[in-house]
Amino acid sequence: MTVDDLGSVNRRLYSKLLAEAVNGMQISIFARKSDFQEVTHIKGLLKEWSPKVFQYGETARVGKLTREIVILYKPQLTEELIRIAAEVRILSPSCYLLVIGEGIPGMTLFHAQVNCALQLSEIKRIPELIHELKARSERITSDGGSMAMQELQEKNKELEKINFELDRFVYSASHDLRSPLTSVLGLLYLLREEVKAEGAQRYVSLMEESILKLDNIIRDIVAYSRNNRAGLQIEEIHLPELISDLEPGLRYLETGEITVSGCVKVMADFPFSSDRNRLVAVLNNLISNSIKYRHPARLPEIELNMERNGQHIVLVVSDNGIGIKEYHLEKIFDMFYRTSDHSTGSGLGLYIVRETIKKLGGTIRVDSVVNQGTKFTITLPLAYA
Amino acid sequence: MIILIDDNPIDTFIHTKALELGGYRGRIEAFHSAEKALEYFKGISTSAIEPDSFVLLDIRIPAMNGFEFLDALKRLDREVIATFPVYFLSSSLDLEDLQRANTYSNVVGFLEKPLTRHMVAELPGIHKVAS
Repeated sequence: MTVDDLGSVNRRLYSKLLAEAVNGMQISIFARKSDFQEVTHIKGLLKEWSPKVFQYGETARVGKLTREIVILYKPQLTEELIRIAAEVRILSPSCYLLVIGEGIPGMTLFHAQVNCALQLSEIKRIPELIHELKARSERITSDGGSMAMQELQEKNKELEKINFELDRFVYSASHDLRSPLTSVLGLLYLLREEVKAEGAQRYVSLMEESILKLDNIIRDIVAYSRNNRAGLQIEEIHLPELISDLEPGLRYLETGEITVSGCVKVMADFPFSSDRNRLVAVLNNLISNSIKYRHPARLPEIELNMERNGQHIVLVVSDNGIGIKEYHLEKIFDMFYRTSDHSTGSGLGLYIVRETIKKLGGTIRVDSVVNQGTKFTITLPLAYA
Repeated sequence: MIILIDDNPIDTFIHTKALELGGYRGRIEAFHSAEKALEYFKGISTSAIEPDSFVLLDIRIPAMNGFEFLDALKRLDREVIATFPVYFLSSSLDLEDLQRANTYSNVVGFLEKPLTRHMVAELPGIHKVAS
């Protein structure tokens, strides 16, 4: 049904109904100054909604468009259409964008940004379109009963269920994978006690090393999953307490007499808010790396420093280890990146560190000098909204 | 007395050995299902419970798991059993398990498998049990 079909019947009644249907809907028309005369015709068709007319190039000046329908009239070049559509989308992401024009090549290609495109000859369809649009938007917003809403809620429920199951799956699978590993590890400890021959001791050590490597990969996968799914638990944090939480996690490091408390120095401390478990996981990773890649000529020293910087907290973890070659630096946070075949890690550690810091709303940066040491600088928000 | 509850006989073997290597000389009872351990607790007379006894309990045991076992112990409604000290000994990395374990007043620790003689040496009361 178009306005024309109704012409002879009761145009006034139709207009009134239409006005009620789209009550509250506002319309902005963008056109070239030279086309304002033609736009008057559209304004006449849409006079129930008293549309406002602007010039191309005024999008920025107009600012955020509160109007719900934006009409671009005769943008003549493809580039002009793309540019203006993009400008409108940035300022008013949820508006309905209608383009009227002719012979714009590939106009339908822009449907990601443009909701509807009409040829000049179809101008009379505009009121009808707006009517449909309003009806559709009412269907979507009417509470509870609407199909769209119900569908969304069902999908959401389904996703929550899948997330929960995936979480359970990761823990169950990791447990089932680790159980036999811990049994073998236990048997190797016993073997070490009972068989003292030098060769056998060496084989046992190598077997332990291999199993711990596999175990570390499973631990990393669990840590990755945990960071992805668990919600933030913000509480007050004191750095020295955090460090004492690390000790058990670093138990398996092959360090001999090196202990966390022996090589980590907390240089500054004031309380701040963050997610304790995530921060422990981050420091655990960084400090165990510092110990693993310590310089053979000296004992490892790790300094933890922090300062306030406006609305942020800057946490610096620096060591005196072997350092990282420059060409590795930009890749060390990548998934599965390892600096050499000899490294014992899964290639997930620093990736998880970066993802965890991201989850905490912060950033991480690395600086390093080969043979001198490595410095990680973590910036975190001081408060969580 | 130390009571081991774990469905994997390899693990109870390892844990028995680790306890011995850690200097423990007392009695060790191993159960490969929580139900069997529960039967044992049902039948035990208060006077037969040696001081400083404790349980090393796995979490993921088929049929009745570690938590269900603790709930069942509580339901036996005998003070001496409900307060029997329990260490969880598991390879679980699930923080929820850890949090849940902390809700039981008689759970005194959460140990990660495998048990080693160094861990045994750090268990409080282990030498008192040994004497």
